[in-house]
Amino acid sequence: MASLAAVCSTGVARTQVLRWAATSLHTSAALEAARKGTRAKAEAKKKASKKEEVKREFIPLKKRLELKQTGGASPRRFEDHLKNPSDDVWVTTFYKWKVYTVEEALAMHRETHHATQADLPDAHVYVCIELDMAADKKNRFIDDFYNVIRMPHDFNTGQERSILVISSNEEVHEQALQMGATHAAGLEVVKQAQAGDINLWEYDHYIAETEILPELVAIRGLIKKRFPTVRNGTAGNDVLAILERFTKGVEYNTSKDKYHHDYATIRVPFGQLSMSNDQLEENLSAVLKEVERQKPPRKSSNLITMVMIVSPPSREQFKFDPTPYLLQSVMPIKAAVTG
Amino acid sequence: MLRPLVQGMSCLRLHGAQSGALREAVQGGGAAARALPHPLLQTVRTTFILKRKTRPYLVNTHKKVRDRRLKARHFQYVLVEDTNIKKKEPVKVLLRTSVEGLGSRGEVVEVAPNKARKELLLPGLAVYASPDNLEKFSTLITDTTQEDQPSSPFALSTANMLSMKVIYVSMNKYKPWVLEPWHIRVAFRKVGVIMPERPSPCPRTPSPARTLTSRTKNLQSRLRVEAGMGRQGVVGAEGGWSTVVGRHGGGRVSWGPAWGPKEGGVVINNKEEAAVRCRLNHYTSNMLDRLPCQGNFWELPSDPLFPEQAALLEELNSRNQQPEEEELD
Repeated sequence: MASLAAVCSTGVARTQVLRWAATSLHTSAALEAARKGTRAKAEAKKKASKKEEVKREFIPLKKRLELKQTGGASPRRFEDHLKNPSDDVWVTTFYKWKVYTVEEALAMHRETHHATQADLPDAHVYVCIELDMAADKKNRFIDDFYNVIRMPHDFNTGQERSILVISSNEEVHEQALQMGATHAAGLEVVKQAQAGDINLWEYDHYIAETEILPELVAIRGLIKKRFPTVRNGTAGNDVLAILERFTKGVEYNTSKDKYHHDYATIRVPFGQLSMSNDQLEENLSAVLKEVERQKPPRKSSNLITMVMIVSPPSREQFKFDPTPYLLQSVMPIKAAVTG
Repeated sequence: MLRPLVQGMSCLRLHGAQSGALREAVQGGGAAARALPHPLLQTVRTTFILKRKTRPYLVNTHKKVRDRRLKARHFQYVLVEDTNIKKKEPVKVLLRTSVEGLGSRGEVVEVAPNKARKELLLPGLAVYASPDNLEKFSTLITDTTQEDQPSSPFALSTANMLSMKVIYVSMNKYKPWVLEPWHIRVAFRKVGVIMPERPSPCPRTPSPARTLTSRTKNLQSRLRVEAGMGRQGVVGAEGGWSTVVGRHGGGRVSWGPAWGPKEGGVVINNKEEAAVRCRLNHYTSNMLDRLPCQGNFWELPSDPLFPEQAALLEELNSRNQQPEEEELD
């Protein structure tokens, strides 16, 4: 300190010395600790502000563009802005669609398929159902579903299905094959499938007895969501009764829109034009009730939004009111979910 | 830019010494002022609703005037609303004549103000539905009979649209048939025109078939025949039966009084009539056996099915023909 005072007293170099003194003066332990604290604080702050780098997965341009697509306007028909027709001759594009009765719609299709025109008296009649697949939760939608319905009045549906019947009873096998099953077998199927002797994916549907279901669990991974269950109506004590529904019934499945996940359609034949109106209406009622049954309990809005009757090759579609056909309540059978 | 200028000029003229008489007239109001048709005096909407960007604080009164002055920042504004671009309320107008797609004579309708001015008020088709006008034109509704008016605002445009169309009537290629009114109704429905089924007033027993042998040759080449359903009702008035024989199959065309109260044509609301061009198409459900598809078929020539209707068809065709483009030299 004495030398420092001596230097200070020399006058000329005083300012320089003072500056040097300022740098060398802060050497006490207390000050050092404080500085260490601030440094740590600053480091902690820096650490906190530093964002964690998120690893981005590489998405090819084509796929990235696809993800961006929204599919444009909803394919649903909105006609709130349109008027009801006021004249007796009108052009349908400018007005709301007329709501026909089922009899009227059928009569009109019979006109277009009349012998003097298209000459297709046995043409199939389809019902086109538009569904609202949105569940009550936002961004939660009902999955695509399918089922086979046994109609009150059978007709030649033109549908073909490959069915595998699994039963422990050999008498049932013979009967099943006679009734139209593609293949009927016992529990040996499990080992054959595991060994690769038979390809389970060749079959569209699997029907099994309830008792042997635990043994079939081994092939559950192969057939996944088509695994027979009592709930789906593909397993039961009487396999033949189930098989009859599958061989003589009509299969329907929903097809969801690629972009609009709340929009799905079902197009299913419910009879032929040559059948009587009453028969057709009973079949139609069976289809509509079956579809209505698939409505999950947590869905407050209607599942069926619009129904139309179509009969190809005519492109005409006639809207009708489904409510009278939905009135009777039926025991629910849960349809399988498409995997 | 122009609007404030115009307004300014109008003020100038009002305050100018030379236009003393005018100013008196305007400021005095009354009939004289209203009679003056001056373009510059028309109301000009230049109202912009603004908001200050910075709100000036309250200043103590004991401060000097210099300190109480507003600063430059207090003169910055934000546009809240431009009254010019605001959507205008529709105006009520009284129709002096029937207007297509809007209403019939004597009716009071609500129209967008610009449309009302350009399309109704200036051409004199309508007047403002003011109490004076309502009183003045009160006789309009009572004077007009139902016959003067179109049955509905849309009937005429529907009739026009129909007369532009060429509608294919698909009849079976192999099975024998007789063309009946319901075939036409179905053909119309297929292209999206709904028609009612009119009850036939007097069902007639068909007269013996008249074979159009002379037409047969022409048909063989094209198999598409054109039949006009005209107001003249040549077919309907005749009430006879004609036979069309195609190469593969045959059919008869029956066109009788069953078509409606008035002979031939489409009748809208029992009043407006439209002649619609229909063509027979020999149809089969087998795709491979169908006649080849023709693009722009409405432009292709075709023979009239009934020679009596040739003139009417010619008129319809020429009316709907696109004007040919002139060659540029």
